[in-house]
Parts: sequence; C-alpha cells; structure tokens
Amino acid sequence: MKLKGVYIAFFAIISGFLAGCELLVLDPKGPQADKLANVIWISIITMIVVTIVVLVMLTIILFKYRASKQDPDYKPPHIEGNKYVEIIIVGVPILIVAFLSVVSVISVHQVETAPEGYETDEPLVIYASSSNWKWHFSYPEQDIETVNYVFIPTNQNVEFRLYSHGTISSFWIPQLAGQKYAMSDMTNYLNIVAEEPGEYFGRNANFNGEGFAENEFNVTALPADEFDSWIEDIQNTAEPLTEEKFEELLEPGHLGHMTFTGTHQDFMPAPEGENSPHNHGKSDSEDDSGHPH
Amino acid sequence: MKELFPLKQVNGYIFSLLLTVIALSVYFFDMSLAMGLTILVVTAFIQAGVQLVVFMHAGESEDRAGIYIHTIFGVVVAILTILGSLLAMIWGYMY
Amino acid sequence: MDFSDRFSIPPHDDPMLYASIVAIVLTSIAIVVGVTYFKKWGYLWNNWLTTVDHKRIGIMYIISALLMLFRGGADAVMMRLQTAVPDNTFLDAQHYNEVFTTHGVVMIFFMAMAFIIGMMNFVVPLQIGARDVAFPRLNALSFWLYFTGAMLLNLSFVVGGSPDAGWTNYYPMAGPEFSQHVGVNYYNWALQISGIGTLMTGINFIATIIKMRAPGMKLMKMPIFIWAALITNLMIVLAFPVLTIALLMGTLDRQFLTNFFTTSDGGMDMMWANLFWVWGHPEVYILIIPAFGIYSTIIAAFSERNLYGYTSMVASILAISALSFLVWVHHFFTMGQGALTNSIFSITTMLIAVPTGIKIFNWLLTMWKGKIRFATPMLYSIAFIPLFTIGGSTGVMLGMASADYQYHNTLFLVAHFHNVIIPGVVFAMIAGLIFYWPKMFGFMLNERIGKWAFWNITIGFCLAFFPMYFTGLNGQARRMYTYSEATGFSTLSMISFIGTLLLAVGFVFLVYNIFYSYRHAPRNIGGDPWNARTLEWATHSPVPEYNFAISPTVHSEEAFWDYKENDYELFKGKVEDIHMPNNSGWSIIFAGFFFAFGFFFIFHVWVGVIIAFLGIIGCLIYRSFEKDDGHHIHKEEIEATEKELGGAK
Ligand code: HEM
Ligand SMILES: [Cu+2]
Repeated sequence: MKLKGVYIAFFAIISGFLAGCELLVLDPKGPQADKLANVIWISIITMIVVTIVVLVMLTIILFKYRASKQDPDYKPPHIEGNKYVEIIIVGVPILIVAFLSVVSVISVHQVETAPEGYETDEPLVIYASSSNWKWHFSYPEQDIETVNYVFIPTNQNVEFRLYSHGTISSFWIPQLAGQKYAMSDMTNYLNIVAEEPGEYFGRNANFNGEGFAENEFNVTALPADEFDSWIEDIQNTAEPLTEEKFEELLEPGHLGHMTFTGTHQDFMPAPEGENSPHNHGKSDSEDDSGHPH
Repeated sequence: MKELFPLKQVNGYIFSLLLTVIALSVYFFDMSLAMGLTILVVTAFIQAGVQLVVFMHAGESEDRAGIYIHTIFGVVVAILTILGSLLAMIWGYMY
Repeated sequence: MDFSDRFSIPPHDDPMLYASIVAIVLTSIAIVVGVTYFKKWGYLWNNWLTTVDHKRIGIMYIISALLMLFRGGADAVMMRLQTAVPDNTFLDAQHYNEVFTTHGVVMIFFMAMAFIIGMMNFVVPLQIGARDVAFPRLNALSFWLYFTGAMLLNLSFVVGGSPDAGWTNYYPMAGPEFSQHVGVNYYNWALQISGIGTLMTGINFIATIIKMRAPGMKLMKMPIFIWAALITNLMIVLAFPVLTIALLMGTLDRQFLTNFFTTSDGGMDMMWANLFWVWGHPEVYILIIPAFGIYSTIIAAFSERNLYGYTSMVASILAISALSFLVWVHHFFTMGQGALTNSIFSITTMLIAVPTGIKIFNWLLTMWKGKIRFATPMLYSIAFIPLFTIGGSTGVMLGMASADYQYHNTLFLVAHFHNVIIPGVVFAMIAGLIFYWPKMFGFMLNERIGKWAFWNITIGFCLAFFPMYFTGLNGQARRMYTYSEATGFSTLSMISFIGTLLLAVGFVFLVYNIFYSYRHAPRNIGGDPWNARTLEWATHSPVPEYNFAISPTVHSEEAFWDYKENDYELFKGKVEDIHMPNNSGWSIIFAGFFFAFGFFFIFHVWVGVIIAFLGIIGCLIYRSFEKDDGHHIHKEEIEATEKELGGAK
C-alpha cells in the first residue's frame, strides 16, 4: 500500500539522520553530556516503538474498515467498551511512563551533582556571568578574567557559577552539559568535565533581546599542564581589569574575546551567600563567595 | 415572623465580624510572624467559607454538589500551586 | 519620570513596514467603501455587530480567528524566509524579534483561543438542545473584548512598535530597564482586555452547560464535546486569573516603576516565569481539550460508530485537566531549583501521557469495526492521530527533566509544540469548520479542493517542523534571527522554509474553497448532510434563530442517532411562542471604551484614560438600569419558518 511506503520512507529518513549522528547533543565529550545523550537515546527508542505501534494499528484499521471495502448494508455495531481492553490501554502507558520516570529521576540527580569519578576533586571554580550580549568568565583562584571565551583543563571537575548582570540567559555547552539559567538575583551551579581536549561551542540559549543570536562563547579544553601555562601567560601579559573598564564592558553590545588580570568579583561580587538579595542558596555553609581578598 | 427574620444571615454577619476582629488583632498585638500568619490564613479561609455559604447561597440549589466539588478542586489546585511555586522558587535552592 | 523619557518609538526605516501600513490603510478604506457602496451598514449593524445570537457570535469569532491565522501566518513565512539561508539580511534582529513575538501572541491568544471559543459558541447550545447560552449579552461582550484586544495588538505594529520580548515575555528583559519602547505595554493591555473577555466566556459556558441542557441529558449522557467544553471552561476560570494578575504586576512595573520582576529592590524575575507558566500550561490544555472533543465527534460520525469507551474518555479529560495544573515547572527545569523539584514535576508531566494515550487508543478503537468514510474532516482527524502521537512522544521526551536541559530553548522544543498545536488544535478547528460549515451556512464546502488543502497542509507541516527536531539536537537555539554557514543548519532550514510555503498554499486553498463553494455548491442540503449522530444535526441547515422549534428530549449521548436508527421520539409536545433576547449595541460601545482605555494607558495619556474609564463606568450604570425583557417569536412565525425550511422535524 502507498501509505506503508510513506511510513517506511519516513522512518528511514529519521533513522538515517540519527545514525549519521553529527548532531552536537548526541556527540558528547564529557560525562554529563554523555549521561544526557544516553537518556535521550532511551527515550527516542521508547517513543519510536510507541509511534510505530500506533501507526501500525491505524494502518490496519483504515485498511480493513474503510467504507469502500465494505458491504453497503454493513451496520457497525454499538460497542460500549471492554474491561480488559481498558486495563491494557491504561496499563501499558503507565508502565512506559513508570520506566521513563525512573530513568528521569536517576539521571537528573546524576547531572545535578559532580560527575561520577570526580566527586572528590576540589573543583576549579569559574564564575560565568552574562550581560547583554556577552559572557564574562572570572577565575577567582587564578585571578584572571576573560570575555566570550573560556579555557578549562581536561579531566577536571569545573564548577561554573552562573549569574547575570541583567536579563535571564541560559548557559549552554551542548557537547559538555545541559543548560542552566543565569539570573541576576542568585547564583546557579553547573558541574562540567571535559574528557577530550578540543574546542567546544557554547552559547546563551535563552532569548534576551536584540543581540541574542551572536551571544556565543568558545570553550577550549586543554590538558592540565597546558592550562597552567596558559594561566601563567595571561597573568604575565594581560592588563588589569578596573571597575571603570568593567562598567564599560557591561554596556549592551558585542565584544570580541578579551583577557584581563584580576576579576570583577572584587568590586562587584556574585549574588550568592550574603550578597544574594534573597539569601537562599549555599548560604553560610560555603562562604568563599565574593572571594574576599 | 420566624420565617421572615433572616436568622442565618444575621448570625453569619456577626460571625464574619468576629472573624475580622480576630484577624485585626494580629496588627494590634505583638506576636511572632508565624503566629500572625497562621491566624490570618485560618480566619481568611473560614471567612471565605462563611461568605460562600451564607451570603452567596452556595448550598441552596440542587446542584450544590457540583458547586462544592468545583470549589474544593479550585482550592486544592491553588494550594498545590503555591506549594509548587515555593519548591520552584525557594525550597529547591536550599541544598 | 516623563513618558517620553521612558518609552521611545523604535526607529524603523523599513520600506516593508511602510508597505504594510499602506496595505492596512487601503484595505480598511476598501472595506468601508465596499460596505457603503452596497448599502450594507444597516445589515452589518443589525445582524452582526449588535447580535447576541450564539451562532453569529461563534461565526464572528471564527472569522476573526481566520484573519488572525493569516496575520500570524504571514509572520511565520517572514521568519522562515529570513532563516531559510544562513546570514540572511531580509529582516534585522529587532524586526525579527517583533515578528516572532507577534506571531506567538497572535496565534495563541487571537487565533487558537478565538477558534476554540468560536467553535464552542456555535456548537455547545445546539448540542445540548438549548436556544442560546446562559448570558447572551455577556457573550457578545466577551467577543467584543477579545476583538478589542486583538485590534490593540495589531495596532502596535503601526503605532509605536510591536512587543519584542517573545510571547513568553520574560522579565527583566520585558521590564522598563531593558525594554524601552511601548511594545510590551501593548502586550500587557491587549492580553489583559481580551483575557477579561475569555474569563467571562468561561463563566458563561459553565452556567450554560450546567443549567441549560435538554431534558434527559444527564451528565453522563452529554455528548463528549460538551464534556470537553465544560472542563475547558472550568480550566479557563481557574487559570486566567493568574494571567490577569501577572499582567497587572508587569504593567505596574513598567508604567508605575514598582519592583515585582526587576533586578533590583527585591524584585524577582523568576516570579514572572513562574506565574506565566502557572497559567501557561493549563492554557495549552485549554486549547487541546476542545480539539479532542471535536475529533471524538468527527471520528465517531465518519466511522458510523458510537465513541468507544465513553466513560474512560470522560475520565481521561478530567485527569488531564487536573494534571495540567501540576506540571508548569517543566517550562523552566533549567532554572536551578535542583534535582528533587525537577523529579517531582518530571513525573507529573509524563503522567499526562497516560490519559492522552488512553484517548488515542479509544479513537483507534472507535474506528475499529466501523465503516470509515474519508471525507475531509475525517482526513484531518486521521492525520491527527499519528502526528499527535509523535508530538506527545516528544512531549514526554521533554518531560524527562535531565534530557530537557539539552532540548530546552532549542528548535526541538519549537518542533514539539507546533507538532501538538498544529495537528492537534489547528487541524481540529479546520476539520470542525468544514464539518459544521453546512450547519452554519447551508451549503457544503467542495471536497476536492478541500483535499488539496489537506494534503498541502499535512505535508507542509511535516516538512516545516520535523527538520527542527534535528537542528534542535544539533544545537540551534530558538529565536535566533540568523545563523552562520558553519553551523550546518542550512539544508534543513531550507526544507523547513519549503514546508512553510506548502502550508501557506494549503491555507490559500482553504479560503479559495470558501469562495468556490459559495458560488457553486448546491443549497437545500437538509439538516444532516454527514449522517452524523448528535443533536445539532436534528435541526435545519442553516440553523434558524431559535435553534429548535420544540426543545428536544434526550435519551443518550447520541440523541440524534437514537432518533434516526432506534426510533426514539426527539421532539415531544408542540410549537409554542419562544422567548429570545434582544440585540444590543451596548457591548460594542462598551468594548470601544475599553479600546480607548487600553490605548491611552499604553501611551500614558491620563486624560484619555480617565474619560474612557468614565465611559466604562457609564456603560455599567446604564446596563444596571436598562429594562430589556427580550422579545417573543410567535407560534405562527415559527411554524411558517419551519414549513419554509422543510417541515418540523
Ligand atoms: C503528552 C503530553 C505533553 C507533554 C508531556 C508535554 C511536555 C512539554 C514540556 C516538558 C515542555 C517544556 C519544554 C521546554 O521548555 O524545555 C513543553 C512545551 C510546550 N508544550 Fe508541551 N507537552 C505535551 C503536550 C502538549 C500539548 C497538547 C500542547 C498544546 C496544545 C503543548 C504545547 C506546548 C507549548 C506551547 C510549549 C512551549 C511553550 C514555549 O516555551 O514557548 N504541549 N511541553
Ligand atoms: Cu507545559
């Protein structure tokens, strides 16, 4: 039948695309994104099965019960419903949803904490804050700051602390981890590990006005020793970041990549701990916020 | 005479005044925030119930079951919405 | 602060803008001249603008919805044209932002909502055997307030600048700090005014369905569409007040410098997102539940079978409506509220798939052992089943909180909600429109042109939206006005653009069909051209003003089928005088004051605001003292009409 051909072609195209798998999200380079890619595959497969079942049933029914194929005198019966059929059509969706719920709950707990194998590491802390339409990265320990690009060491848990100097933005490096919002009145935490050196694409995914499309940044993952020499290099060569300079950077617009020594945390600390206007979050337990010098 | 005198409404009116006075006391007496809020919330709910039953005649038509079910559904949804909002905006960040 | 300091008119030296303004002005002049030339003002005023007849109000809603569909559709074509090739310069960023914002707002509030409310207006009283809704005058007012809102939003495009913060309008981007032109004021007031109308519709229809059903129509004997309508309106009444308050808070922030959603002085930007979605998720189910009702009706009619599992259908509508209030956080899983909160809302979200799945199987089982006729309304319903299954499946995928961190804000999400809204809501409304067309106007739409439209729309839909699942997974964020060649989105975006064009062609066929059939279709088609099952088909086509000469008595949820097949008597008793409400220009005048109120408020013209407000109060006072007892249609008149239409049924 014609319809069947259409379905087959349709699924061939879909599986062709998925198998091609150049898709960023399904090509993870770190444990967090890897978890998510697995969850996505599990759900895709489950859902393709569901869709095929519905399609097959529909095709058979349409084929068998169309009027043109039936006796003109045929009178369809009156059927109220059937207990056993109803148990099946309630039970099967419940089982599927229960299965996916378990996957969902486990995986969401996993990606919300430090990745497996890196739990005990002292994380490298990087503040990533957004302003219209840029990303500012402050390395409090290393005392440097970059704009629109970030270097991280491989195989090391990096704790990004996300907040915004205005609009809500969403910090996203598809190949390393899922999104998280950066907002002006609190700090969010995102753990990321890159297991392969390389350049990764990152962006703000949440619409925040005119310059949104270009609101991107670059992530470079380097082996630890190269990372350290990069830091040293910057500490020796870059200009210091002054308060006036930073105010200038905050003006709406686009900047290329920039590098400074010192961070804006000194004069404009992140909204966490005692600096948070609502004061919830990792308040007194972990108070290296604002990084007192 | 008895049928003409709206005893239920007068009682309801007095009762709702009483509830208002209790609620007002929160302002005049020095009490803890939790205590004050509890009093306000409890009196507010009773007050709404009194208004609904006594003055808006919720229980007097034949489809009172429908009215009560919908009201209760609305209240439950409202409470769950508030709890959910607290989870999403405050409790969820306290780890 | 002075108004002129706070809000600027965005600089738009765009030839396209001027062209559209000219087009709008010319069209308006043409309409006015046309109506005057054909001396139709009296007809228009007496029969339509002042009407309180639910059928005419329904039709006016549907006409407005179609107009808005074309407005929003034009926006859609512009957006896909802009993104068809990388680094395109057809629209600049600001313009693109205004276009997708207007598109979303128009499609959700002024197209989809109007369409379902229009459909309920036309069908509900007929299907329960009533003469009108419970409060006909209020119903007219609902329509005119909706229309006022729609016109205000469309005006923004010409005067002052359109809103540009997305239909979700997140603060602080939409607040006074970051959005300094009047666009978002328009958003606030247009939605506020039409929202009042929607809320009144909700109350009106609950009262209608609870109080005005034909004798014998117990709750569990209501046709399934009536159940859908009842639950939808209950949901409207519970959900819309949240939007009202959120919009009010936004208005206060923007126009009176309060700090509900700002970044300073204790404002909380999360609060807007939370309130918006507390309303927003029930809203998407407010759209889909009536659509489910339409599909149930159509699938049963064209399979010549009763609806399978009526009780479980009712139960699943109830379950969906309850659950839909408990899932809103899935729209911002990424806000940082942690694993526990997200787990809870992830589970509630996916639970909705259970009642939805039950409904899908029930539709399949309704066709089982049936006698399926492939008329156009049925084609849309059949296409709906697999397409909606895909949309629902991707919904479940999005509902897995962890995975959503990767889908959120991407074109994957955009593909999901178009995948549920287009085959779900839009197909249902088109199918319903074609299905009820003979009831509305007394002639049928051409089937052949209808099928061309159907295939264009369905294939166009698939081509336009399926590619987005892939570009989404490939890292394409939504709402980007352009992208570079290097991203690799180009091929799929071009396919998507072609699909959009096919969709547009399909909609042109749909409208062409109306003109074609108006000229060529035979009249005198009888009351029941589709061999349908519910009460509305027991009266004439088109329906006389009073709906039924004699109020029907009902035995089951398929009253008319019982009458046709099982010889139940529907119309007991004899024709009597019928009491009907009077037409009135009050509603349109009242809404006119609201228009002025909204418009002046948007621009801070306080004198105008006060005058318009006095007008509103004046209208209310007038209405309180107005004596309007309606009128009677006399027995003889009814008998004459019935005879002319082919004898009393
Ligand atoms: C099985 C049922 C469904 C599930 C599990 C589901 C799940 C979801 C989830 C989790 C999101 C948020 C994704 C994100 O922002 O990252 C979403 C978005 C959305 N859904 Fe669904 N959905 C379902 C059915 C529907 C239906 C029936 C409609 C409408 C008729 C709908 C309309 C929408 C809309 C409009 C959005 C996006 C709004 C926006 O951000 O602009 N969904 N859905
Ligand atoms: Cu939702």
